[in-house]
Amino acid sequence: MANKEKLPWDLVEEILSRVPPKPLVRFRTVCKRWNTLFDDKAFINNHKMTFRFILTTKSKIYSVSLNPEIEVRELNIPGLNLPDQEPEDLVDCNGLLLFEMSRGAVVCNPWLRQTRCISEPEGNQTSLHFLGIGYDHNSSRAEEIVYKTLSVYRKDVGYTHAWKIHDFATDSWKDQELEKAKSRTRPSSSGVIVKLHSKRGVLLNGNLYWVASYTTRPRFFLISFDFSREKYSRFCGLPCGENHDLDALVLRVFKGGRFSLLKQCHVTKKIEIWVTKNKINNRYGGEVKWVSFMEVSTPELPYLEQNYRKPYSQPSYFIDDKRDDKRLVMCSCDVIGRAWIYVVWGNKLISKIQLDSVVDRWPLHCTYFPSLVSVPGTRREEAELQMTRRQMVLLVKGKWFEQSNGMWTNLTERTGNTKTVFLSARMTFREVVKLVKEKMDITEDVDVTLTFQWPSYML
Amino acid sequence: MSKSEKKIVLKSLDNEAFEVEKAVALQSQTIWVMCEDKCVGNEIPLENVTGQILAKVIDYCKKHAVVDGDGDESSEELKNWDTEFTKNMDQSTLFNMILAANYLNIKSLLNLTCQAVADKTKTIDEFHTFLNIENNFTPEEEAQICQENLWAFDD
Repeated sequence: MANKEKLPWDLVEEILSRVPPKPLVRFRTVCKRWNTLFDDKAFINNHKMTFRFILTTKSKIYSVSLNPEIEVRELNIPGLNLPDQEPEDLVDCNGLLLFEMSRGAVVCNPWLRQTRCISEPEGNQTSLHFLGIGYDHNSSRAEEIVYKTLSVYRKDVGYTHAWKIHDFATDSWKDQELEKAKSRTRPSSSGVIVKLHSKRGVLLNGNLYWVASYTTRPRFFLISFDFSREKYSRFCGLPCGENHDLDALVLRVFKGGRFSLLKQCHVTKKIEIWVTKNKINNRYGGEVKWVSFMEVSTPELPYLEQNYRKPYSQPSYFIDDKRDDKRLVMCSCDVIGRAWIYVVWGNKLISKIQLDSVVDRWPLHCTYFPSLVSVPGTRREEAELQMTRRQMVLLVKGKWFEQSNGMWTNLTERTGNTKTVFLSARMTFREVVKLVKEKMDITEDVDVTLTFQWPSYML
Repeated sequence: MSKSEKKIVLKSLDNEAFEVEKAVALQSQTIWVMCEDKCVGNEIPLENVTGQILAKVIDYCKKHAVVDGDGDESSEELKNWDTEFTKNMDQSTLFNMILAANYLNIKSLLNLTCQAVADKTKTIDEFHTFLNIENNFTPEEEAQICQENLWAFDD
């Protein structure tokens, strides 16, 4: 029985924020407003099952949520066979997570529990280091985005590094030597050495970005990799004066299209957060303006991340400025590798909590806000998927009638009357008719004609 | 405090009167505000809630007032009671309970009832009927979205 009243929209959102992620994807087809809602980051970030950080040890994956009390949950992701494969790094790429394994990588949406393996090309001698996922930003339509994964490897003994790009759609690798900027140390043609401060790339508008420096001078800047031109270039400078190799310098995307940068000075422990004033345009690094977001300098501040065995480990963090106050939340390991969450509010450290359910020391961690982005399959896989699974058929109700000139016409009830059914090859015609009648609320005795595939102009 | 001051009368939309302990009723922020205002006497008219629904809301509040007072009655027990409470509610009762919890501003009851709907509603059609929503996609648009998210339909 249909309810005659309608629930106010905020109550509908209350209900939907309790529906688990996978059914949520199915409910996209309920109506247009729901479909739009599920793409709204604010809705997903307020969902009851959302989280903020992902931590992984040799054998376990954890999510950390703050609502606002901190909750650690173990995540069970089929397809990620820990501890058979041990994760070596973890990169957040806009809702997709890239796990670098000892050989190859796994791309995963931990919220939807979807995974896909990227195996290294056959005959590859040295193992690949995965830097991040991006796409060609010239294709603007979401369904046309072809994700690609960037990785580097050491070509010979010595300094030469080269990169390979893995294409999700074709599951193939493209190999090329670096031309200009290199990951880590390698003299470029002009004799200047460029070094990435952390190898984790930050995805924005299809490009990957890193904090980098010249080893000859303590000058830090942002470097980008453009997947459409397959080129690295220096993007813009950093705001925070002189920096040091031992400083924490962590880049993140802020409010969808901007950057934020966390710096912790390794001498004074002072933390600065900078954000870009405007949205980032991939092509105009020269126009970037940084403004100070907050500064924290209290004696209780910890040194963030002190693992000298993993020289590229950095604190994870996110910032927000809701409720008039600026908040900084950080995840970092202490000197002996225990994971902690630090919350800074209004320039004060208001809480620090050890994540004691994460038993193993030195977990990998990253900031991760859930999304409903599906892990892209290959074109072949997706085509096969459609063949082997039950066929989804959309039913539209209409009525045939004979005109005076003997022509038959179908009058279709256009909107609000479509239903989906799944048909398998094993079903008999009688079973199909029965299923259709049930779905469309048609009684047994009414005759039904099933017509397959109308041209769109007839609908 | 005299006995009468500790009790309060709630009157439903259909004029059904319920006498309850003040501590029970004050779990509703709306009633709390009304009592603070002192512009109402001992009888509070609730113009958006029917007697049938109000009876259920009071059951919930009684249970939770007692437990909160004792402090020690296990939260496990309370959880089980909550589950039983919504388990056999039909769709229309649940719908009205959500509206009532929202109007009376009882956060925990709103959480409970919204969760119950999220747990019980499994299909697209059920949501269409429950929330009285019309599918405003054209068949082509609908097919497109299904096609893009085919994996989610596979259980």
